Amino acid sequence: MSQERVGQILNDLAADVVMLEPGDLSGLGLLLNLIDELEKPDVSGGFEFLLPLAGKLRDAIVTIIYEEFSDPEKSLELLSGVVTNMQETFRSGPPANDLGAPPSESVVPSAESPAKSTSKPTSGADPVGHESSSRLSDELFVGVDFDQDQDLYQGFIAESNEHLDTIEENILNLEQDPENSEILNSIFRPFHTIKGVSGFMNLKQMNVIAHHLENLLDDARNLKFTLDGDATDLILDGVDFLKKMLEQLTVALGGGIPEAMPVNDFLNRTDNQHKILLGEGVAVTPESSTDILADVVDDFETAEDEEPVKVGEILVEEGAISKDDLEGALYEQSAFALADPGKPQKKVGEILVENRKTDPKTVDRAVNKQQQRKASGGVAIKVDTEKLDNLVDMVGELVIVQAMLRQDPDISALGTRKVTQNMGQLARITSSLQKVAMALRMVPIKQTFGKMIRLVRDLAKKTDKKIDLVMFGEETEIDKNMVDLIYDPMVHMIRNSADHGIETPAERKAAGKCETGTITLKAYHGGGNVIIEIVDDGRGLNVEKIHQKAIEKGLLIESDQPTDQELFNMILAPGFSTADKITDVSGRGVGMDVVKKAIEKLRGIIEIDSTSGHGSVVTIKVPLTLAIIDGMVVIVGDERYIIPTLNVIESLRPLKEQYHTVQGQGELIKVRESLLPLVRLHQVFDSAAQTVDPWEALVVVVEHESEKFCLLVDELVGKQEIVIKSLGERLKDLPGIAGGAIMGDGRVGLILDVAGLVEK
Amino acid sequence: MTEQNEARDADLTLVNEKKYLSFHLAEELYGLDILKVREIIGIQEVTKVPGADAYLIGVINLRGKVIPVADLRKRFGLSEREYDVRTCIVVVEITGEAGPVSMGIVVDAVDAVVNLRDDQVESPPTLSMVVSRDCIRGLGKFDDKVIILLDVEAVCSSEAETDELVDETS
Repeated sequence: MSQERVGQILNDLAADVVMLEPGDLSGLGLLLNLIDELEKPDVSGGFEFLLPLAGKLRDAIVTIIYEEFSDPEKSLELLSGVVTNMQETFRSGPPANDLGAPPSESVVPSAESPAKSTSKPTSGADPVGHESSSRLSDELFVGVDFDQDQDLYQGFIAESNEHLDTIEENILNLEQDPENSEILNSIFRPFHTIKGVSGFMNLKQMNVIAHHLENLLDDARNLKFTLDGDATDLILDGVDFLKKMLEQLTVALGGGIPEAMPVNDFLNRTDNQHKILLGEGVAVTPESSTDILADVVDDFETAEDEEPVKVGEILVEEGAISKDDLEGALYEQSAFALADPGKPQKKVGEILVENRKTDPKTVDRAVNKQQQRKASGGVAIKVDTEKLDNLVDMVGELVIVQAMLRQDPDISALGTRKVTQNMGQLARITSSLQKVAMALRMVPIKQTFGKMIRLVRDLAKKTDKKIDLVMFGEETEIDKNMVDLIYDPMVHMIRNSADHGIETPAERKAAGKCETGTITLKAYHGGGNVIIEIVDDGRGLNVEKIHQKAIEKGLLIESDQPTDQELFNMILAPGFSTADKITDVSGRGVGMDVVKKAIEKLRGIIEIDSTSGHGSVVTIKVPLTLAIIDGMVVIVGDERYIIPTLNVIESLRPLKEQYHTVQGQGELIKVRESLLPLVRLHQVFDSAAQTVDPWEALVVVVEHESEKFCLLVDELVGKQEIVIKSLGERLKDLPGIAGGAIMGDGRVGLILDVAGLVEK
Repeated sequence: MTEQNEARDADLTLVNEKKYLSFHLAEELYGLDILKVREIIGIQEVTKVPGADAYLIGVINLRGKVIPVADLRKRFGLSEREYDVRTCIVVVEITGEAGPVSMGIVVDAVDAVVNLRDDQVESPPTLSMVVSRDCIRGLGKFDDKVIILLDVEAVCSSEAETDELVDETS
């Protein structure tokens, strides 16, 4: 009887929460009525375990009604999370092991609940805060209906992955600076969000895991232990675990069956570790285990705590208080918090006013200012790349039209000052517009660098080495596509540096170096390229061994006298190293040709330098963007073609004596002691050449994979930066043509594909 | 008056009416489904693309995008002629492997937009025509004129496929 009634009320609650809109006071009132109903003893008889949750829910609603919560949408999400949780608790019955509280006391929490929930959960019982013998299933996402809200889940996956990346990056920063509460908060918040949203999305297991990890962090935040070493590992494991769950979620969304994951094992492990970190036997808070969202009220507080710029800092900036004043106030604040951890923290502003360092009005202004900054700072939107490309195309056209206007003889003939002025203005605006449009695709290389921190940490652990990763120029901007594409080559090189470059602590000590090796990542712009340097202070490459090996492999003959530089770059040759692994030095070659190929595909260059005993430097030079290349414009017949400058060695007008025809090999041009085959472009492209004799035309010497040959062209127009455009799928696989480009006069020029010409 | 209107309304509900862009090519009048037509631009200088199908005369710059251009006379094996002021490029949108792609079609002159009811369109004759049969969707008749309705997707498909078609029809 009562069970039915409770079920009914919960369903009503759930329905009402879903219908609720921000600012809907009468809706909130309805919810309160339902809770009143639920709390009646004759209704809730036998379901007392729901009462604490009901109390929380009431508090949360009251908070929304009275205090204008900064993010109404989110507060509603949270409400719905609590209600869902209540429904689940209701269905699964009373908690099996209500931690610390024997079943007979189950009424007590209900009496306590209002008082308890108004303040932050105080210190006391359950160390980890949650049902350790949980009823979670290892089967993922049972009973979740993915057909509805596909988009919502997709969004959740993307967002959560971003959050997890942020966590990963920040936790590694924290390791360097364990006391920094700012960083700690930036790890705490994403977990908090994942927890909240996954609960709302009915992804129970994720919710619980995120919650456990959040608790762990919360304890670290409350200075119960320091987050380092083992604790960091634990959190990173958690991140990996959640990432795997997200992968499974993607599988499930695609209609597949997600694999089971050892959710309970993981939780137990986390809890045990957590207990160890806290130190056995420490008295901790009794927090009713069932309410996953016991900290709903807490949620509101943390949300409000997210202050990008501190009020105190603004006050110092404005000169209202001195830095010492601020530090004093902050000290007082933390002392206050330590003395009475139960109470909410005093605001810095309050303390400052109490101490007569400043007046309330000034503080008020600073708070306003802070809010403004919050609103304006770091707002970003996601835009479809196609729209961006369209914009860039259009701007390109604008530049051309602008140039045409400027060169138009009729307009120049007008010669009035106004026209000249306006044309100048137009030119300026167009060129800055073009710059802005091109910059839209650029992102800082930071996101790729950030991933390396984890990599180096893991590698150091695995190889028992001590490695510091130092990064410079993370703000260097590079095309979004490029960022993704240079990731793999960078991983490869860094792995090499950590694995083979940096020595073990003992070896380093013996060599008189600091035990901790350093890998330095640098990024900077240079000559239209992004240059990335990976520097290690390890043992360096062994020139002798490479030389020997190169001879073995037939890359060199005994009599060759290669420079060190040439030898270093030999390890990039295909098949150089794979054979026998030289543990001593150059196991380094493994798959290096793959790296080289990948970089070359990006039209980049990779170089290696090294000093024996002092480490190596790998320099990767890639263009800022894949969309723009430097090209040499040539004329063949009546068409213009663009030869990528990367392929061009030189251009020359051969003398008659340099021209040879060899039986069976066709025409050859002798360029400095080497005979290079001559390719008549007009024959290849079937157009009428202006000149037939090479000594009256020009040849461009090009190279592809160290194979050189001469292209016969009629004229050289010059070097130019061009934006590569696809010719569309109908014309994509033409041999010898890599794409099109819009030239200065608005017509299309074709870009030559030197590799394709070779095959021809 | 009202009766007439009603009758026409009834007609409309019963018979499907479609709009076609009509254009001249050689001596004939042709039509393209207007929904496929993006815009009509004047003839402009085309960059030849070596190695492409013969009827693809090259590429042009359409507001920053490079699009291929097909010459319908070449496509249908008609006699070639000099482009003049009335020569146009009709830009159509066809289905590509990865979404819609634009393509230009060179025609002698654009005529008008005509409405054709389904009952004004006949299936193409089985007899051989200059245009390979698979490129024709039907023959439209109005005002004593005959308009050859083209299947734009087939027209823009690659030549290798149509060679077979020509063989079949001849």
